Amino acid sequence: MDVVSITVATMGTVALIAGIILFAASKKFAVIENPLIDEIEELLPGANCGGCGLTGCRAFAEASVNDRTVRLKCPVAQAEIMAKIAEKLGLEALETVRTTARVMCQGGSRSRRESEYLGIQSCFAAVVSNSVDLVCPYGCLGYGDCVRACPFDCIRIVGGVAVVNEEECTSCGICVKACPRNIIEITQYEKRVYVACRSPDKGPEVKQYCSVGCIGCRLCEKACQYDAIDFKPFISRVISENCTECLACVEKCPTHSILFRQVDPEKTGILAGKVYDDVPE
Amino acid sequence: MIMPGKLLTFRSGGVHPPGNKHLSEHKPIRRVPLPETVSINLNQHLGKPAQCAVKIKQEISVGERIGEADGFISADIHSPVSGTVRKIQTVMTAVGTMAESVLIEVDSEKTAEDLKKYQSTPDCAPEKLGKKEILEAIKQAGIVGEGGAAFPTHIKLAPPPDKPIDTVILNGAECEPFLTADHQLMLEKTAEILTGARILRHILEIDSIIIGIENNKPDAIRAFEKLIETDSYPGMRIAALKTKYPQGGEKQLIKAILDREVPSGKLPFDVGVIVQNVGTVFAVYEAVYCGKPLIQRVVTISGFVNNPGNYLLPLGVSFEHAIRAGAGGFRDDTRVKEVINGGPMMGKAVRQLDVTVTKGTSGILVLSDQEFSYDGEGPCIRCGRCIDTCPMGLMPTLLAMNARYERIEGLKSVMDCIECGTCSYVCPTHRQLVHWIRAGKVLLRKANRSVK
Repeated sequence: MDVVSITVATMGTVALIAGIILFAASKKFAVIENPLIDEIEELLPGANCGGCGLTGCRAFAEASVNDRTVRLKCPVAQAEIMAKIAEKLGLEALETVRTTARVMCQGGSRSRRESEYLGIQSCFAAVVSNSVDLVCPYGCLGYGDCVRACPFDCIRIVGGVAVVNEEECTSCGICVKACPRNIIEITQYEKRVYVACRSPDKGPEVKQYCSVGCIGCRLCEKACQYDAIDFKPFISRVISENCTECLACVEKCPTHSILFRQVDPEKTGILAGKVYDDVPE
Repeated sequence: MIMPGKLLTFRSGGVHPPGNKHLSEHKPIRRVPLPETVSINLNQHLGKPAQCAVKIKQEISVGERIGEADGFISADIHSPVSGTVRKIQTVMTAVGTMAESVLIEVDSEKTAEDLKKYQSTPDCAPEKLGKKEILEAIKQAGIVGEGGAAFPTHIKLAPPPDKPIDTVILNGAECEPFLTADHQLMLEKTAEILTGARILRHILEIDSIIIGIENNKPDAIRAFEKLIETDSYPGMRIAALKTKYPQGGEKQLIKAILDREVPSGKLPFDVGVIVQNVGTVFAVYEAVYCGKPLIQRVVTISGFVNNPGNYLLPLGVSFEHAIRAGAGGFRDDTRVKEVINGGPMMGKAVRQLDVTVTKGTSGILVLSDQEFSYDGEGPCIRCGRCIDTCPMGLMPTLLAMNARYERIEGLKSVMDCIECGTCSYVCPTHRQLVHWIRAGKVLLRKANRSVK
């Protein structure tokens, strides 16, 4: 026999044996997976942001199939996607409310800064080394830790303060964790009136460091007819459930610390149109 | 004992920044006129802040306790002045944190009167005193380490029984540029420091006390030698150290003098050594012999001021008062760029001038626009200078990167960093390595906590 036929015969035998072993193994050790998992994963946004509390979209799909429930809520997916997922699972979708992250501060350039911070341009590093130049102990520092953390690129530093593009925001909650000052909150998208300040200091103290901070004067509480202002010394908070957006408080607030975010349908984001050129790397 | 050509030093790393000590060197320690008010914050030491023990409008006199130690690692705080408590408020400390603080209106005549009670004391050998009483006196005096970390001394001097101590090192290295407070104290209070050392020797029941002094202070070395030769201070010797930064770091000092290495994550206790700053030892002497609590300390005010020198400042005096009333004010108000609490290497720029002197303030350094310049950091060029000079043998550039990108697994050795600032000093692109490493320490601590 010549070399060619020996080679062909040997390789063929080896391939046959290997094929049989592989076939047997694939039958014996087959992992039976619910095809629903793949289908649901297909529907999910695929950002793997971790906003649901699990490690990624695959984990979310597995969890929702195995638990047969949609109480796990994907903050990124829109309501119709969740409804589709629920349908696949033979369940009814929970009523979901669209949420968005909001920065509870609008100080920025209107908040007093003393001394000059020359350290690393990172909120976390500044807070850690106690060298924050912002006098307000609660406000946004504007070094952009949230900007860098946002996986959807929808936070910008505008005028020294972080601003969330609420149209793009998926409320995954990563910026909430990244903020060392804890001033980013997940709020209802539809409820557009909120107090953009988190300083519980008394009025005279707030006045010293910020011109747009809540001074705790309680005027908003008096102006509101719907019991939608929750006042704790010395900071107001809008209770979204009760708010009817009558804007009485917005008009009354002497420091303009209550905001009414208006969405311009012509533009994509609430602050679209402004030049975002001071974004840290 | 100075052996020419045989100066001790630690092995790896270190730098030689310009000393600039001539500005305040050999200037006698002077008192500063008292301000109208002093503001004493209750977080002057490592550990838990003291609890306020006074009320508003209460009349207090010098040495009265205004802060009570809270918990195990904490220290008492006493009033450096006589007067009336006016306010108890939260103010910023020199390191930038917020702390509860007692504002006292000063009665300067009464203060001068009351301070006299600490002056005359009967002299007797420390060996005759009881150990417990001495430790109690140190605790009552609220003494903390004056080197900077401000660790309560009564805890340091009572090491756990399973860790035998054989040596005490008095730290007179003062390697930080500009600072001369310890140097001047060693010259003026040589005998008192040595008596204080005898007290330590007595309570710790050890033989050997070594005083480590850098060889840029030959007069201090001579002054100590002269006294030691008189035989009234047994078991003591001087170790002349090479002038190199950070020679005064606890771990570097132990390595240089005893050739022992403190293992990672361990304390000098673990190699049988206690290191005490000379200022602390002087405070121990005053506490034991005069019953005087730690209410004032020597602070070097140097740099861009009219009269740089060494000043005896009561706690709670604002930096502004210390500079204006003590050091004759800034040389040119408009050109002042930074005021630093501590020295240029490890100190921290203060954010406002009304922060006050605490037990850990070793210097107030004023830098003008000529001495201070910073135009941002550049990229790491991988030259490895920070690694060559790191006295702890770490890789600062990698640690900083790992901290920046939150790679916790790469931050294992970050706790060994002593934050001496050598890496930032030598970096040719001015990277803020120490700042990132500090952030890394917080990251690691957070990660460890969440694992638990």
